[in-house]
Amino acid sequence: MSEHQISLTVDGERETLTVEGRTLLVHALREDLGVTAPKVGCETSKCGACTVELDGDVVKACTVLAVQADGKTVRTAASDTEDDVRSVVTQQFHEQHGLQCGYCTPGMVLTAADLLRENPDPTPSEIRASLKGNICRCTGYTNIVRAVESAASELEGTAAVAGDGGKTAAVDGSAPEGDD
Amino acid sequence: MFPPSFDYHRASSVSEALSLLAELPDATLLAGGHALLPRLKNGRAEPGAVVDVSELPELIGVDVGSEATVVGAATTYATLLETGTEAGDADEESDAGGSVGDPTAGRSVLEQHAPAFLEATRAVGDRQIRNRGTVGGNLAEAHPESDLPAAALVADASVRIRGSGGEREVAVEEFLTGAFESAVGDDEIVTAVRIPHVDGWDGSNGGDAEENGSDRNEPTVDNGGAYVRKTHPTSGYAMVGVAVRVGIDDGVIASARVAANGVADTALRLSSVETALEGIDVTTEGVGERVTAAVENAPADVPEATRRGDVHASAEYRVSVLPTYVERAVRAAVDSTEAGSDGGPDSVGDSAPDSDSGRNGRRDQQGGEPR
Amino acid sequence: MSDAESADAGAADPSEHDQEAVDEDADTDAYTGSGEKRREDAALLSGRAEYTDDREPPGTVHLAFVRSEHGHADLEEIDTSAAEAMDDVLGAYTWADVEASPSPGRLQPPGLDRDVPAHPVLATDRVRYHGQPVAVVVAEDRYRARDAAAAVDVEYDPLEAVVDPETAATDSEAPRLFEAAPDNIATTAELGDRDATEEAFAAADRTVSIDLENNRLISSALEPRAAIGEFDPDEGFTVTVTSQSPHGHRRKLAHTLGVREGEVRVVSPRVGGGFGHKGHHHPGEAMAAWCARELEVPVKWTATRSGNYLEGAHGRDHRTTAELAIDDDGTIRGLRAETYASVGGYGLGSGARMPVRYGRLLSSQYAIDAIHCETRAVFTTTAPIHSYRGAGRPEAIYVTERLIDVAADELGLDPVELRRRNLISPEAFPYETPVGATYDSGDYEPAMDKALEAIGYDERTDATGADDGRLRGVGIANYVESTGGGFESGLVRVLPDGDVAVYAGTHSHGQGHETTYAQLVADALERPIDRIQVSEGDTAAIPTGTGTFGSRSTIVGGNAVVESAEKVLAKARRIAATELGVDSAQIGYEDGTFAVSGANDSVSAEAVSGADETVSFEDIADTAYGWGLPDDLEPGLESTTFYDLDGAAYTFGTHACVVAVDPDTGDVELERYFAVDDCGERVNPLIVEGQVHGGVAQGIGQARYEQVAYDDDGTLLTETMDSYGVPRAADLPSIETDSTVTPSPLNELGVKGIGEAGTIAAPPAVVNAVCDALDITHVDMPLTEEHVWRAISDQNEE
Ligand SMILES: Cc1cc2nc3c(=O)[nH]c(=O)nc-3n(C[C@H](O)[C@H](O)[C@H](O)COP(=O)(O)OP(=O)(O)OC[C@H]3O[C@@H](n4cnc5c(N)ncnc54)[C@H](O)[C@@H]3O)c2cc1C
Ligand code: FES
Ligand code: FES
Repeated sequence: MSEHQISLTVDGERETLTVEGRTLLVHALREDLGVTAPKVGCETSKCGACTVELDGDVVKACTVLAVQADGKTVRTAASDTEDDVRSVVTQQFHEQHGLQCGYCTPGMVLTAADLLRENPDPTPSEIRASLKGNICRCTGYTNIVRAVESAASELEGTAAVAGDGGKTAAVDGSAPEGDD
Repeated sequence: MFPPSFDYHRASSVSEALSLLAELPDATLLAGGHALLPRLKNGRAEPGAVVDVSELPELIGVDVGSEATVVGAATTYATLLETGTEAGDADEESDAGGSVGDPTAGRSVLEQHAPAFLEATRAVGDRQIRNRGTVGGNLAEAHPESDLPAAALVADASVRIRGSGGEREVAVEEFLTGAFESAVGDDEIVTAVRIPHVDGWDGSNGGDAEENGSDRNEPTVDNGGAYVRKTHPTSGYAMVGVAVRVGIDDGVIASARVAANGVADTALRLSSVETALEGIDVTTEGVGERVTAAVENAPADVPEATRRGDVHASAEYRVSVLPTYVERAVRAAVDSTEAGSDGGPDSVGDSAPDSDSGRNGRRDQQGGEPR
Repeated sequence: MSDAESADAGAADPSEHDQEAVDEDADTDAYTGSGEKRREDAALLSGRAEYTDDREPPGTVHLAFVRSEHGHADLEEIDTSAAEAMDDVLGAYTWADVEASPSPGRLQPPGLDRDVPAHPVLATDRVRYHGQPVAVVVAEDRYRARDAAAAVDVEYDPLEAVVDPETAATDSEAPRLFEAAPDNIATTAELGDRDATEEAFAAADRTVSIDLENNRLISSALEPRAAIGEFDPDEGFTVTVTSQSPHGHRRKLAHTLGVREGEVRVVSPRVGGGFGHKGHHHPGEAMAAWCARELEVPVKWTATRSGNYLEGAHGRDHRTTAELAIDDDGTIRGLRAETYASVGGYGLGSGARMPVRYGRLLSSQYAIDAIHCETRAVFTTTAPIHSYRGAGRPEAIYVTERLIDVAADELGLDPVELRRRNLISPEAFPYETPVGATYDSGDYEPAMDKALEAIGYDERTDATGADDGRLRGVGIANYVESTGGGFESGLVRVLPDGDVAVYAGTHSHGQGHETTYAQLVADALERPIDRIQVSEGDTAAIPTGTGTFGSRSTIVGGNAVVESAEKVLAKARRIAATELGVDSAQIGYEDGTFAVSGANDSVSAEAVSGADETVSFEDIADTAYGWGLPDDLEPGLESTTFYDLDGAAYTFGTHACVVAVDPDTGDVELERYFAVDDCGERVNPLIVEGQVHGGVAQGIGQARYEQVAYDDDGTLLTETMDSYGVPRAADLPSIETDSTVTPSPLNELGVKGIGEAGTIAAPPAVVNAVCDALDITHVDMPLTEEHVWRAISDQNEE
């Protein structure tokens, strides 16, 4: 059994801690650092409740070793919404009643914001496809899709969603051309 | 939910990783972790040590050469999709390693040479998984329902494997040895996947670029491809996935490579379908029926003993619907060729771009080039 | 609360204030009836909200179960010594340890005629389902608890398993689970009149029949169950639980631990969905508390997903043969059903009896003279079954709504027309069915017509006419849902500064009570909503209550808090009368101000403004706790109501959907899904709609994807979210909704519950649509590609 000292930035705080090799990032966050916004809903990397941003990419924190996050930056749904996209998405989840029990919500919001940064004007089917890695058992997704759609229209024309695409391939070929 | 204890090592180079694999008892490689970690969490694996190669620069990147594109084993799906679809300009072409495609077509080299491989990559898992999972890990895992193996087969790809004795290159056909089994030894590392550029009617990189009068990264033939999958109703992997590459000469299918995953222990070529497709004129009436007839025998290409199913989708079912998905993939592939796009066979219907179409119950997607 | 009528699920929250107020005042500023945005959202969206597992009292240690690897086996030996020897392991326990403790260690008794033992918290000498807890370990953290559990060595002597309830009850070779139940039958019940039904069948022109399976499901709330046990020798137990029913858990925990209810405090913070299974008592909660006493440290147990899936409780799992007696003119004369329902390896409290009551809704929306239903609840070597969202209602409506489509086919009649001819007429309410349900109110046809119109029923395309090669079908399902069983408590406490604290015995886990109850109380007291605080989920703070399940919260909880608010206002008025020196009948009240208003008890705006003397709600609150109260009034300004509905309120509606079936692959796409629901008055339409969406999604999940599967050895094959098909966003259509409003006469608010409607209506709507598309009589759920493809292949062979 190996132990490792790691340093990472979590929601703006610099943290240093010792973890076992096997410790999952989600457990380091929740158990060791008390950062409980990411939740645990499964053990097969399926539900997305544990979603966080790792150096800007959405990942499932239950499927990354804590030691692999050494030197990296983690942002959870509890972080200050530095960017407009997430704060608009969050607001629209509220407006459209896109959450019930709220357990999926911290992960869902991060994934939805990630989608909009890449594809500012997704169709409802693209939204549904993009949320494949986040399960919600309460809402039936109808209002989640509405929330993402209305966030997209709210953000239309703002700088927040332009030019940050290309992290993954554009799904519809209308990739932003990096025009700013 | 909680992995058993193991020693974790982050390798700083491939050679260090190789020596760690050799030295440490029960060591296993960790790349994207999206197969290994779920297995550890469910207690289905108990390695003594884990050697992390996910951040080795040597293993990351998409290197577009004149004859082939070489994808580093630890390249994530997201990185491949990002760099592999960049339709660069002429300037970039002079960069080391060449890179990127025909600016006029707006399609990257990989999109032109191995569209099915990119489509399959796009179909993998979900956003979060595509940010972590790797091309090499996908092939090394040899999951029967993974998307990349079939696409690698039709791309005529080969896998570069390094061991203490040096590097060897193994064709994907030989690489995939069984369900969750591959030709990579316990002490070896997959370093890259090599995808040859299409440069001859046989669809393989037979000739050399010069001879074919091309030093550009453009196929010299009318090449098309597609990956069509039916998402498994519960696992989210491919219940059936079909990758197709076709080369069209003067309106006729001159070469066809067709492979499927999900139906057998490994992804496999459907050779009788390939043969039956060759010679079909895609520009004339009745092409639909000819394609339908050509794919009919697909089940015969899947040896009984290797067929696979589960409680949600039995082997019998998967093999029975295989011809339908093969047909859809073939049509989409033909549609993606120049010959096919100007008045090819009957439309194959809608194409959905992401791994799931986003339409409930029609989670099979097809065609779907980002055009 | 313990019957199928009321057991379970995501109760929701419609309602509205009383009819008169709406009609006469047309108070457009009322919170009630408005789509007030939820007050709980901010904490949830920011990730600040605390769920059970987010809490960690200092010194907390962690518990992990060792679970049976077999479906049915004798326990030969359990060796915990290796685990106990590990560093950081505090203890490892088996049944022997529980037996030696002061606790009886059994979950709630199944309450059956047959003398079978209750579920032990750890297996005694035999395991009766895969995943049954066999031993428990406690260690410093979760990882070490996992290691310790893996180090426990258990020897089993496997026995034959039986997973199908009909086989278990009818096959004489089937293994027997309990000596006291030689035929594996836990309990049997008949509903309705057998003879009258036989006569109806004999008299009718025709009979149609159907064999169907209601697939076994798992509620799959995204938050797994969890509990933190704490023990203080002086104060007793505090157990933090993922609970839909904190007081229910208190009673059950006290029973299992062998202490008095007063010695157990149950706290339930935010709960991440429940759908039934968080109302039930499982070994985890009990063992966390038991170990806390043993070790005198806080002990946390959090189920893994597979642990959750293995130990249940699961839902549904019925095998039914049903028949409809029908005349050629479409008159339904009679219905009969014979059902085998699985109980699982042990009866869990009312869960063991729940199946035999399911038939109470077999009349659906139709006037049927005679119904008879005989149900056998059967032990099988599978996880225990208990209520899952719907809890018997979906099973009943599925039978009836499928039978009607079969009958329509047989008669060559449009299935909608057949339904229409048999609807209970609006004048017939209250309507008593032959299976013992009394429907309070209903007006079925308008809701049905709305759904039909929305879906374009009359213009629907012919199943074969589609141009993409897919087969189109339309499916309709009518339903009724019994809601509001059991009593509920509601306490309204005005604080000295005039703020209002509301406490209810229900416990929201997604239903938005913080918002709904606040709306109701704000209107009843005419106070701004931001001065109302709603609390649930702590037995130390809240009067004994029942909980949130069975679509009951708004009806019984809502009426309880409103009645309390009204009592509070009456007292405030008396205090105001003393202050203003008049008789309380002369006191008017509006928007937080009491004023003298002549002899009239309702006051007009001018009266208030024109009055020379007024006193504010805040002043009255202050007086209530200070000096100057009249002698005949007790200090304080609060009231508690234990509200009980006389009967049940019957929600109803029609759901309609359009499917496209790919004949080559069996793939089904739901092109449209439209729900029209009538839950009486709606307190918060936004929340009501959300409940419909969620229920429909789970109903479509049952119809299309979800299926618990065991192999013949009793091994659970669907142990994870990889193998159990919880629908993802792309698996579902956009769910469209509309409503009609037929208030319930049984309660002042006119509300009915809505939490389970979708799980009831969606399965028959979807299956009816697919059968219509394929022109077949029946195909069992879930309609996976393969099931549908096989149905097509079978049909082609004929
Ligand atoms: C919920 C979920 C859904 C998924 N859906 C899909 C899907 O739809 N389609 C699909 O194709 N996949 C799917 N996957 C699998 C995913 O794509 C994995 O990422 C992939 O199979 C393995 O890649 P990895 O880089 O994560 O490998 P790891 O998990 O790191 O490794 C997998 C195996 O390969 C070995 N290995 C890794 N790298 C190397 C190397 N360079 N050389 C030699 N051996 C190596 C490891 O030792 C290990 O045994 C899914 C996974 C999850 C969790
Ligand atoms: S907890 Fe990470 S995906 Fe479910
Ligand atoms: S709101 Fe409960 S899981 Fe999404």
